[in-house]
Formats: sequence, structure tokens, C-alpha cells
Amino acid sequence: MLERLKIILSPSEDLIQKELTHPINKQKIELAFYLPLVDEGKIHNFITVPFSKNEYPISSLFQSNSNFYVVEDPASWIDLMLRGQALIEHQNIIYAFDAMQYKYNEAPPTQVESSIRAPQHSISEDPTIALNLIRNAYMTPELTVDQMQVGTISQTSLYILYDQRKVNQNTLKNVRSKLDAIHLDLINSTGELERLLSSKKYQLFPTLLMTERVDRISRALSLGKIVLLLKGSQYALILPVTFFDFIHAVEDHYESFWMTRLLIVVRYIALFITVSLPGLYIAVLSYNPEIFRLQLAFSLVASRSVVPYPSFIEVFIMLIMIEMLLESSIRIPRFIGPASTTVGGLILGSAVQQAGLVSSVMIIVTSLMAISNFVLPVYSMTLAVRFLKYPIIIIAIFFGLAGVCVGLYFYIVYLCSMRSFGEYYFRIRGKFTPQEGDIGQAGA
Amino acid sequence: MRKILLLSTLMINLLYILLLSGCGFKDIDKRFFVVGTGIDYSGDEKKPYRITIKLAVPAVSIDPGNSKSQVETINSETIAEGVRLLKAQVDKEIDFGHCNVYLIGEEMANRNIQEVVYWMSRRRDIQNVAALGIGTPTAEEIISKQPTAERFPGNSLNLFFSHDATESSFTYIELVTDLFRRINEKGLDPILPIVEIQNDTTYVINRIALLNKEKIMLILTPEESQLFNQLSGQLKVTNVYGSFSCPPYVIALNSIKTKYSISNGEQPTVKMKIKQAVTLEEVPISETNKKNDKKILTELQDAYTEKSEQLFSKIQAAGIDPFGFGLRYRATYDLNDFDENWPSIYEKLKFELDTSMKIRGSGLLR
Repeated sequence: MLERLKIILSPSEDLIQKELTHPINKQKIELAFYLPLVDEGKIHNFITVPFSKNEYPISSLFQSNSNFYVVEDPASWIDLMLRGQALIEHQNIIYAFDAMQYKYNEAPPTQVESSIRAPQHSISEDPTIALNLIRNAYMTPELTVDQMQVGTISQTSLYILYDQRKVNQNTLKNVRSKLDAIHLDLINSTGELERLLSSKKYQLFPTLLMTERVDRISRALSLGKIVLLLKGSQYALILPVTFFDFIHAVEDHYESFWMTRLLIVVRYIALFITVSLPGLYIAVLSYNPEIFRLQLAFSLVASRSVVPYPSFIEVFIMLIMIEMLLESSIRIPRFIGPASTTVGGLILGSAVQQAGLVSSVMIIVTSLMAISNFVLPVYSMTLAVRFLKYPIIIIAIFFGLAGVCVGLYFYIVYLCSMRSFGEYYFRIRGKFTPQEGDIGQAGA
Repeated sequence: MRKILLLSTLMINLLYILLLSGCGFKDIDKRFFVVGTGIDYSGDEKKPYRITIKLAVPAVSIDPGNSKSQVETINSETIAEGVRLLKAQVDKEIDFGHCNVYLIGEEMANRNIQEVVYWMSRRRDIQNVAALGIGTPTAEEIISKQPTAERFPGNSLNLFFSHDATESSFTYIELVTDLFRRINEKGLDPILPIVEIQNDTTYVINRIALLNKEKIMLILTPEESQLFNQLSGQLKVTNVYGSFSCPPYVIALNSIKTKYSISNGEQPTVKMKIKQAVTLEEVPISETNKKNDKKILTELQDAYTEKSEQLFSKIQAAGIDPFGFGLRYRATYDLNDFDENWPSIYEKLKFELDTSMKIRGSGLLR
């Protein structure tokens, strides 16, 4: 049986294939199962222990216990194994044994990428639970799991998951060689791995998608992407990715069609707002006030007239404040978290405006910018985008509206030049064929 | 080490740059927005331009009658110099970016408007979509007028010239781009609306001045102005009211389409077809039935044709061409030396008009 399985199944780290020989009576059984999908205790209790104790002939156990049944059609082997059955061959008869287990209950709930009606569990820090969840969500024999160790001291297990049939072999080779090249003593989180794997050190956008959602992982696998799991980390890495994957939330597949399309548009608007709004504020206020309606210009003048400093100082005051608020809300212990939000957000905000340090319109600008920042569904992109507004502000101070436009144009050009593991980062649709090659060789 | 050196050099340079403030950088509260500009003839040959600007004083509360503004006036040799001199009279940067109304004094319009329009089309901060008009008796008087119900400075006049608020069939809206084109295009003459003060409280804009390339040649009455607006295609989808006195009916024009061609021969003729969709607004109840409608319609059509023909001949007699017949002629026929030959052709141009009206129901069920 094992020989045949080797032919039909791709070799995978979590596919256990054993040949057991009893030392005394020289009886032989062959055993095959997917480790993450089965309850190992059951296999021990029902198969390996009775077999090694040899209390009574093992064949009679297989025949008398109703948990075992004979499988005649070899075509159903894979199907059974993927459903958590162990296959046993004894005296040329093949039995299946149900040792299936789901670990949904052991998986922690999603924390960063929460959603309303999508599955609520995330992958676990325990790789067996994570693999169990992924195997259950992506039930094909083509799903291959490779294992390797990273970190010379920590020897952390790293699992490389991909669909054997759909994965781009060049990308896989590329990722493997990069992983081999990592020389690091300790590795604690996938974030560290993310930075090590990124092609350039000073890049503005993430080229790997860090996720905790099983449905996102399984969808990525079905699209031929590679997933990296690190033992002890609750996040998986998906690669290669495009820019548009970061704007995409899992709910887009679950909820009503038109509303989700609208939400995607809203996300792009939010992206534009969060990147350009502070810059636009400076540009419009100090260089091109004529682009507003007169009414708005007047109310801007009225709200600005108490502020003693030029517009960019005002912007910097508010931006520093909001960054500090966001940063402190992570560090502050959970119990006093709400207090800091109240103090920072409400009291400080209105007090700063009353004190005449910033105008009331600036408060609107700041909060709109902060809110729209967190509309983006993937946290790594949220963080990357949080930085993008600063260069725009600097340009706006010196060149006004034209500067903001040029800055945004620069970002688009930059995005177009980026590659994620040899594949176009800013490609909306369509397949990448290796024959076309990587124009400009910017990838790798 | 090298990297740190490079980075620190960059930082220091950036710091120096941050200390310099660019010349374009002026905060919005350090600017004075001009909300109305008037250019008059001062009567002085040496300093012919009398420039009036209305500066908005922004207020927090926007209530009717609460608008405040500051008016500055100066005589100068050129317009640009005048604006520069005005800067010395105010404490903030003068910004024309929000000025949507430019008025030319009637006296100035009787002399020459070209200088003014050229100045406007050259200045960077004057919008190309700003509206222009002729102020009677002077632009200064109109600009410095403070309408009692105005919510914020300059808004009242501004709304007259925009499509957002009132859309009167008497008001012709002329923008800088169009005026510039009309001044420079052969066979197309400028038009400007005339702004007057009514009852000392508000404005009225219901007359049109027709100019040759330089100065006023003809001023139309309000009725003629309305007809002119309809025929020149200014009003396309809005309701246009027209009443014709011979039978005392009032019709509302829902849409009007004019189409014309010029034939070239012994007797150059403009053949114009005017298609209208109308609803009857004021008709005695006793006279409304299908049979009568047709009779009314023929009478109305004839009346409209006659009135239009009168208007065309009046404009023709003044020797100006605001409809652009000359431009159409240039586009259709070969004519060497247009300036030389066109006036004589235009003089003997004949108009053949054909009005066809269609009655539309109002959609009401009775």
C-alpha cells in the first residue's frame, strides 16, 4: 500500500507512512495517515498499542471492532485519509480506521482581522492545530507541507504550505533559497521573517501578507500562493501578493454583492484620504485656497484666525498627538486603556482646539485621517500607509497642491516598480506567465 | 559611519530648508479674498482706470444681512499697477482666486473693453470661469453696494451669475473664456449683461449689451434680451417663459432648438429652423380644446417668428454679429479677406425663420 501511496500522493511533511514489524511474531502492518487530521491518541490506543502488546491476533481485532472497516477500492484511499481516517494494511487487506478530529474549539478567536459573519477562529500558535485547521479547510492531496528549521539557536520549525499543482515553481525556489540564506540566532515572530524575506530593506509597502485567518490562507492556497507557518506565532505569511490583496477583506466573498463592491470602493477612498488629507490641508490652506467654495473658505479663515502658527505646524502638532495616542493605546495595560482614549481623544482634542493651538477644521482632518486609516483590512498595510502621509506633508509645505499630486504620482510609480517574489505587485488582474519574464528585472 | 554622515547632512539640510518659508506660502487667514471687482473709466486721461475691489471680511456666523466687506478704490495708469498700489492699502495678501464677478463700468464699455479682458486672461489667479458684466451707471457703485439680505460678502452678485441659484431667462451669463474668444474670433462679437441697482437694495440683470470688438453698439430691452437668450441657445433645458401679446396667451418653453444654414448666392440667406416644445400656461379655460389648440399654436408660431425676425434685423442694422453668422460663413464658404468683404455680405443678409411648436401636456391628471 505504501508504495502505491507514494506514487499517488505528493510527499508531505505531515503525511505519516509507517511500516511496523512485531519483534516476536514478525507480523507486519502498514500504517498511513495525515498527522494533523487525526487524533494520535486514538491511533495509539486502537492500533499501535494492541499491535505491540500482541494480546490477541491483530487481524481479529480489525475484524471484530466496528471502528475498522475494509476498504476495497484503492481510488477512495486519498479521500478517506483527507477525512481523517488512518489506513492500515494487514495481510493484504486494507482497513480504514476513523481517528478524525477537528480542532476548531482549540483555536483562538481572531483578534486583528475580525469580521462579522466570517469564521471567527484564527490559526493557532501550535502548528498542529494550525495545520489541522488548514487541512480541514483545504482538503486536497495536492496540499504539500514542507518543514525546515530557522534560527541557529531557536531552531524554530517553519512550515511551507503550497498547492503542488498550482504553485509557481520559480517562486517556490526563490522562497526556499531566501529561507536557506537566513542566518539568525533567534526568530520569534513571523514579522521578523517578513522583514528578512522582503526583497529590499527600505521598502514602503509590505510584499508579504501577514494573516491570522484560515479562510484567507485557504483562498491563497487555491490561488497558487505559498503560505509560511512559524511555530509559536499566531500569524501566517502569504506570498507572493499584490497590492490589491491588502485592500481586500474576507467578507467581500461572504456578503451581499453590491454592498461589498461599494465597500471596496470606500476602502480606496479611505486610502486616498488617509495618505493625502493632511498634505491637502496644508496645500489648500496656504497655497491654493481658491479650489473651495467661498463659504468654505470663509469658515476656514474664521476657524484658522485664532491659530498663531502656520498651517504645517498645526498639522504636525495634531499628527504627533494622534501617533502618540495610537502608540500608547497598544502599550497601556488593558485595564486603563479606555481611560487613555477618553483623556487623549476627547478631552485633549477639544481642549487643544479651545486653546487656539489648532483650528477646528484640523480636528476634523485629523480624526477623518485616523479613522480612514483603519478602514484598511490588513494591519501591515495599515501601518505602511500610516507612514505615507509624512512625505506628502513635507512636499505640500514647499510645493502646495502640485507637490501633493506629484507625491501621489511618485507613490504610484513606486508601486508599479515593486515586485513581490518576482511577481508584479501592482497588477490588477490576469495571469503571470513566466515566458513574459519580469520586465526590468526588478523582482527576485 | 559614512551612512550616518550622509543621513545627518541630509537632516541638517532639511532643517535649513524648513527654516526658510517659501514665497508662495501664505496661510488662508493672511489673505484677503476679493469678491467683486469693478473697473471704471476715471475721466482722467493720465490715470484712466478706476479700480474698485470688494474685500470679504470673514465672520464666524453666517446670517442674512450680516455680511461685512471692505471696499477699496484707486485710480491708476494701468490695471496691474492699480492692483499693486491697492496692496499698500490693505493688511493682507489680495487674492483674486475667489472673485467670480468682474464688472466693467458703462463709460469704460463705451470706450474700450479689450485692455481689461486681456489683463484678466493673463493674471494667474483670476479664474477663467469668472463672470463678466457691465455696471450701470458705474461699476464702482454696483460693487460698493451692500444688498440688505446678503448672507456673506459678495454672494448676492455671485449667485446671479451662477447656475446654482436663480436661473432667469433674462440673464445672460458671460465668462472670461468666452468673452476672450468673442473678442479675438473673426465673425463673432462680444455680449455682456448689464447690471443695475434696483430700489437701492438689490441688483437687476435683465438687459444685454451687444458690443463690436471694442465697445457697446446696442443695448437690448429686457424682452429682446429674453428672446436673444432663447435664440442663442443659452438656455437649453430650463423653463423659459414667453408671452405674446397678440393673443393674450403665455407659454412656457420646455426646450428650444435652433438650427440654421447660410446659403451663398446673389442673396445670402440665413434659413433658421426653431423647434420648441411648449406647455400652455395661461389660456382662458373656455378656449382649451384640441381644435382650438392648433389655431392658438399657429398664431403663437407666427408671432414668435415675427419677433425674432425683428430682433435679427435690429442687430444686423447695428452691424454686429453676436450669433456668429460670420463665423459659420467662414467655416462654410471660401472668402478671401474676411474683414474686407464680410460687412457688405452681412448687410444684405436675409433671414428666413420657421418656428414650429409642439404642445406638451403638463402631465397633470384632472
